[in-house]
Amino acid sequence: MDDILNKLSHCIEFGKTDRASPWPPDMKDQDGAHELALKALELGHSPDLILESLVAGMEVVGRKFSENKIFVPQMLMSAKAMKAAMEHLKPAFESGRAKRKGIFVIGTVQGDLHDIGKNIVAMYIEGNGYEVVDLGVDVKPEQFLAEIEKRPECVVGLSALLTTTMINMKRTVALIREKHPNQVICVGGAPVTEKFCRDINADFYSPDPQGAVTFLNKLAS
Amino acid sequence: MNGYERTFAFLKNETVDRPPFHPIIMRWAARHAGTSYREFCLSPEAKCAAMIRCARDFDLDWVTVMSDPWAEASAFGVEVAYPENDLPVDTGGHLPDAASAAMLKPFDPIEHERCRNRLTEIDIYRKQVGGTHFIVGWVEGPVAEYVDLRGASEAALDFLMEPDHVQQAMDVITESALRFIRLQIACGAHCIGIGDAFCSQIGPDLYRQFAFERQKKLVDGIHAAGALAKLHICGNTSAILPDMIATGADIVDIDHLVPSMSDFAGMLAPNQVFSGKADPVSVIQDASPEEIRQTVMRDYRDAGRRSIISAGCEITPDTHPDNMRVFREAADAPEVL
Repeated sequence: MDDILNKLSHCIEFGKTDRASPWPPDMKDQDGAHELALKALELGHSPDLILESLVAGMEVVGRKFSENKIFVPQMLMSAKAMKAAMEHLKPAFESGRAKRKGIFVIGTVQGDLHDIGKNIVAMYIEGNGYEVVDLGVDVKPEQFLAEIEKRPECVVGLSALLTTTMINMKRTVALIREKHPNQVICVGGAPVTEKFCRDINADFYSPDPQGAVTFLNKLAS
Repeated sequence: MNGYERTFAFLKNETVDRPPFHPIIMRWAARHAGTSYREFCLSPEAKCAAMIRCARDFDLDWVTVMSDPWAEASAFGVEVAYPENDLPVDTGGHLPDAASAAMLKPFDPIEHERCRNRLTEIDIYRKQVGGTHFIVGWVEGPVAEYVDLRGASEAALDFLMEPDHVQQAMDVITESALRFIRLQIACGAHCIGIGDAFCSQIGPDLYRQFAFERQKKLVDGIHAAGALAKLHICGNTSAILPDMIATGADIVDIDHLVPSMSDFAGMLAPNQVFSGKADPVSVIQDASPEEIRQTVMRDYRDAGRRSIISAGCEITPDTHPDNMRVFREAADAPEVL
């Protein structure tokens, strides 16, 4: 990989958003993802190649997160760096010059206002080359249905932090299945388990964002 | 032995008839007592009646003031809505940035209704079950409170980007907590729980940077005021458990996501115990009676018999009362004793 693309991967791995960002301290006053993505485009690198370097950085982040080598704050900084770089790639994706791997529609289920887990998963999946449609928190089943109808090829992700709201996952999955029996649905969140996923007839559960990306990559391949 | 005697004896490493039983019940307690959750959170009389009824119906050794994390945040200016039968939610008034957090001023608990209610709750407990049950008051820990005031994602980024501002805010949070602690103990709390849930998400380095010394200060303040301290951090705390034990908290809560208590039991001082760690969903709510018993016995053995019987976190509202009875009776099992 070209030097600038390596540097870009490094910025994602360590959460260096832009030159002004004080994090991480050992990269103070260095270019971050924002500047490097722009420079890479100016040097003529294709958006697909730039995305590849971002994904490479994000894969390391996911692995470190799964191994408890980094935690939520560092993960969020990496996601923020990813977002800064992606801003420059958006026009290419929107015009169709560059391709996403697929579409992931995500939201916390009705009644659940806790978005940190959902945000991490959304940013991680976006950082791995997917278009993410984030419906936010407290999402009614009808909103998921409307989005599926707009984007029939999408995969749906339901998030819940609380044992009281995870029950609403069951209702949401049932309503989606009623109209779209083959819709792929992933579930996650602190109280959610593999067994719960099977019980409510969802397709996939992962305790971490990396597992979700592995699953999506299998579907996309 | 009653719950008060049993808990104190167990903590002192003296002989007990069975280990104490301290499940965290909030929504479950409100449901069992037929009280709306709004009333449970806002009415000291309703909360205490529900908790005492549960303690009597299910032979619990403790009563607590736990219901939601918003008492201190309300005092700091966060607006909170209380739906009739759902968890309270923060609706506004959060600190807009880390610089504003650094300007935070300490609050006087007496001036704020939710904090005054907590003191009333402890007073009711003292009068009604003071000699029979272990009374536990509560404060939010520095990390949890900062998260409540800023929002989880914003707080997590502040820890890395604006550490000096965070430190300033947490000093004020700790000072306010100490004031609140002293008032709760003066009202009759035997123990104060420190809830610092988000600590399991920030890793050992940030835990040491922001939380450890302040939690220790709170524990020391609780001890100086004549009560015992309990430290509750949900999630997989394996990476910070040695530090949590080193705070000197008398009771260290262990969530089910910690693989085993066995690796840490040897770190406990003679008068320290764990409390945990059954999975409230897959075990206490959903498992068979035999699986509940086996889980309790395994965890108790793993803790070197120095664990209060409890779930890793809150008992779910849908847990059947029969499962709660099985959970309680597991503490009597010969293998546990």
